[in-house]
Amino acid sequence: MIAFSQYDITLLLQAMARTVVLSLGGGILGIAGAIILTALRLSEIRVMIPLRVLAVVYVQTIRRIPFIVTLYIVFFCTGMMGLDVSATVVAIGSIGLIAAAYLCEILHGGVKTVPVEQVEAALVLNLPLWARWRYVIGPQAMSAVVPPAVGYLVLFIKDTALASQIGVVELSQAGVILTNRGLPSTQVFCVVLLLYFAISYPLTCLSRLLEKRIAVH
Amino acid sequence: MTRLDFRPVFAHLPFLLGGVGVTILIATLAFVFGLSLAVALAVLRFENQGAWRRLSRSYSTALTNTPQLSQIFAVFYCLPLMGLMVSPFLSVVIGMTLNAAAYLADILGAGMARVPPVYHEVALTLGLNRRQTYLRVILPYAGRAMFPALANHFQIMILGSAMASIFGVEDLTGRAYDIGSTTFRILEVMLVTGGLYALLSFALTGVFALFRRTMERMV
Repeated sequence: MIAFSQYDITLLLQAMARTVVLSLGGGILGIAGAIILTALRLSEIRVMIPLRVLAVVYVQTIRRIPFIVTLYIVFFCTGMMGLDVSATVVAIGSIGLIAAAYLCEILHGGVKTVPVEQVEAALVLNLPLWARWRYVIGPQAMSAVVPPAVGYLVLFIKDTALASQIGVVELSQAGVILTNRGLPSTQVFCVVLLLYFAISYPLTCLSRLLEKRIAVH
Repeated sequence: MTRLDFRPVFAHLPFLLGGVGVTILIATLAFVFGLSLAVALAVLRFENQGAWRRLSRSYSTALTNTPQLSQIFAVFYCLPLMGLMVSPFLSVVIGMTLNAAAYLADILGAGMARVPPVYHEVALTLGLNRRQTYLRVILPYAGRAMFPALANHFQIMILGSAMASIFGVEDLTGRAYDIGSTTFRILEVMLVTGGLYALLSFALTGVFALFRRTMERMV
C-alpha cells in the first residue's frame, strides 16, 4: 500500500470542500429558483400568463437536457457575453438552473396535494396571503415536498462531478490528477468514491427518515 | 456579445444526428445489461434474509450515493490494471451498467414487494418451480407495476450517456464537442445539441406512453 503524501491529502480535502461548496451553492440557488418558478406557475394574474407558460416550458425542457450540455451552454454563454466569472461560479449557477427545475416540480406537486377546500376556507376566513401560506398551505404541503426534495439534493451532489469538465478541481477531478501523477488508481478511486459517499449518504438517510416521519402514505 | 451563427452547425448536422444513434446505443446496451444484473440483485434480496440480502442492499446504497462519472472513471482506470484493455466505449457501457443495476434493482425490488401474496400461492398450486414462478409470475408483474419508473430511468440513462463524451466516445455530446472545436461555434452547437436531447426525450416519452397503452390492452 502506497501512502498518500501530505500534498495528496490536502488536494483531496480541498477538492472535497469544493464539491461541498458546489452542492450547497447549487442547492440554495435551486431552492430560491424553485420558489420563484412555483410562484409563477401558481399565479392567477392575467398579465403573468406568458411568464407562467415560460416557467412550465423551462421546467419541462431543462430536465430533458443532460447536465453536462447545460454546463457547457452556461460556460460558453458567459464567455461569449464577456462576463468575468470563475468556473466555480458557472458550475454553481448551472446546478442552480437544473435544481430549480426539479425542485419546482416537487414543490408545485406538493402544493397541489393541499385540498382546495383548505385554501378556500383560508380565503373565507380572510387570512392575508402570508398567513395562508404560513399556517394553511405550507404545513400541509410540507410532507409531500421535504422528503423528495432532500432526496434530490443527493442527485445534485453527484452532478457536481461534471464540473470537472469546465476546469473546476473538485473531488472527481482530484482523483484524475492523482492517478495521472502515478498513484495507484484503484486506491485513489476507492478514496474518491468513499468521500462522495461520506457526503451523500447522510442526506440519503435524512431523506428516508423524513419520509418515515412526515411523508403522506 | 458576439453574434450567434448557426450555419456552420447546420453544415455538420448529419454528423451530429449520427451521434443520436450512438447515444441511444450506449443507453440501451447499459439498460439491458443493467436490468439483467438488477434482476439477479433483486431476486437475491427477495429470496434471502441474511448476508446475501445485505450484500445486494449495500451494492445499491454504495452505487446510488456516488457519482456515475467517478464510477466510470474507476472502471476506465482500474480495468487496465487487471489486464483488461477495453475501449472507452466499453468502459462507459460497463460503468453505466453497474450504476444502472443499482437503481434498477431498487425499482424491481419495490415492484416484487408489491406482488400480491395470492400470486405466490397460485404459482405454488399450479406446480410451477422457482424459475418458472419468477419468469412467468413475479417478474412480469413487477415489470408491469414498475413500468413508469423503469421508463423514467431509461430517460435518465439517455441523459447520463452524455458522460461518454468525456472519455472520447463519439456520442451526441462528443460529436457536438468535435464540431465545436473545428468550427469554433461551440455555444451554437451545444444549443442545438440541447434541443436534440430534449426532442429525443419528448419522443421517448411518447413511445413509452404508446407502449404502455398497447401492453395494457394485451393483458
